[in-house]
Amino acid sequence: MGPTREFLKEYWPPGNQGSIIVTSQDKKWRVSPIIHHSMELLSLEEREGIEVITTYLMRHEVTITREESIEIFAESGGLPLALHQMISFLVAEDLSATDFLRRFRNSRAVDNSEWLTTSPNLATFLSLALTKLQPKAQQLLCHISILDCNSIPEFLLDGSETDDSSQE
Amino acid sequence: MRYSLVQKIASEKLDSKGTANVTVAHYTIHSQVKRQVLGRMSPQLLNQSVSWVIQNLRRHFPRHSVYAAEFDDKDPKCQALIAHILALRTIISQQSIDVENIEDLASLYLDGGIFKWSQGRLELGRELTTSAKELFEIGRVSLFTGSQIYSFGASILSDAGQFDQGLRDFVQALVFSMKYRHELKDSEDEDSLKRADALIANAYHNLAAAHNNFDSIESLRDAAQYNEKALKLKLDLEKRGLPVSHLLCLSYQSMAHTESRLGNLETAAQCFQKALDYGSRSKESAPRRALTLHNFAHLKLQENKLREARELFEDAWGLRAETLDAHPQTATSQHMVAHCWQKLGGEKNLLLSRSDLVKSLRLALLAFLSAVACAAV
Repeated sequence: MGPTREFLKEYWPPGNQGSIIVTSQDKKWRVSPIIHHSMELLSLEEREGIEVITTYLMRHEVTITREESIEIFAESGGLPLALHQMISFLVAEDLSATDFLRRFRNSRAVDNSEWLTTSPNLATFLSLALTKLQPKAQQLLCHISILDCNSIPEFLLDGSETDDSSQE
Repeated sequence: MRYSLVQKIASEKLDSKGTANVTVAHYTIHSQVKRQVLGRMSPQLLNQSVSWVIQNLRRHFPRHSVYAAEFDDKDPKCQALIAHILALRTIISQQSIDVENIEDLASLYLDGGIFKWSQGRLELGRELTTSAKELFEIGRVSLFTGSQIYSFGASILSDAGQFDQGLRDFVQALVFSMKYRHELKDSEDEDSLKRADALIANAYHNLAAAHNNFDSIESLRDAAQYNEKALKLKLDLEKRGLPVSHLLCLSYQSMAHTESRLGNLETAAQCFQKALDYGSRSKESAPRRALTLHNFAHLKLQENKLREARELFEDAWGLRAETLDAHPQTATSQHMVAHCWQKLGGEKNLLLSRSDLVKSLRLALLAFLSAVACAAV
């Protein structure tokens, strides 16, 4: 059941007032006794997912068939983040849909670590993507992962060495 | 970064002079990507990254000076970086990381705690200080930093009403500052020696303030003694060319407080005046100068000198409105002006009193709403 109640306890703010929003891909949270109200956000529908794929790829002048779009969408599990990462990887690596799907399926991770099972599609994508980064870009990504997710000022990263070929 | 692992966002802001637009860029990383990357990192890589982050945060996050006032709660670099100190602390507490640069980490937690305290976020200030203290107790943190950690931690305890515990930690801070000074006894580094003396002077000052929290005559006499020791050191630092106007303002203010409680009103008035003189010499002392004006006005009230009290409260109110804007302290000074008008009597003064009272209530409400909004962020 994703991060457990005990796992999240550390992040709970002190005090008895206020509300906390928990988001999870695991539907079992809906019936957790500590949750007062729940709302299910549905994954992308196939139609929506295909539209996202088509729009993005058209912008980058990449053509794939409808069947290939459906396959890519299926691998993403309908999750917007995983889908976005997958199609941007496809474009950046200049892969055909067939090549991408082959590599993606070959990289499907089998590890049962907690951090993996909460987002298997993203984990698989990252396993594939991280191997493509230059060592210094990987190193910088590791450094950034220690920081807060938002508003990492550029001046904080000045002086860190990155390989130019790994920059957008 | 490829594949949108990290997003770059550029925006335009006014430069520090407020005259021209400059492009500032920052990056974001999705929390899921962050989590996945962290989960893949080997212990060695994690240690390296943590060290890198500590080094860079320490390079950029402002350092609290022993000669200066606390951080401005709107300092842009502090605001830009504090979330990253908190994120770093979370990672370190969750993983077993062998931190090499512990001195830098402890001082980061300390400075981060001071900044949060200046923003009124006492709980976070306390948490960061506690983390700094834990590092000091492990070892490998200098006595210089340790003294400040205990000093600041004691300030938070005192602010929370835990006076006994605060006093104990202030004593520890003095002990550490003296040990640090002793370490330097054979040193010829004049700057380090001055810093060490300033540290001891601050420790004496804090002990005076701590004793002022208690009601007994004995405590007030202890406060007076510590005030004298702090003042003597600070005057000596002034002769040695250091910018200690703010520190002297603090000392004279503390002395005025002690003397007025001991019933020595004339001496207290002289101390208040000296505090104001020193406070007017540096911009950073403006909030302290306002507090001195406000407290001096209370002394005048005690002496039933209503007109002088009113003028001083008005000066405090004006300075607070200028430097603090919508703040409970601004409302308090305005309220006291209203009180003085009322005491002076007469129809005109009562109308002025009512007007100021209404404005102070509005200001207090605005300050409360601002505080709630800040806490929600």
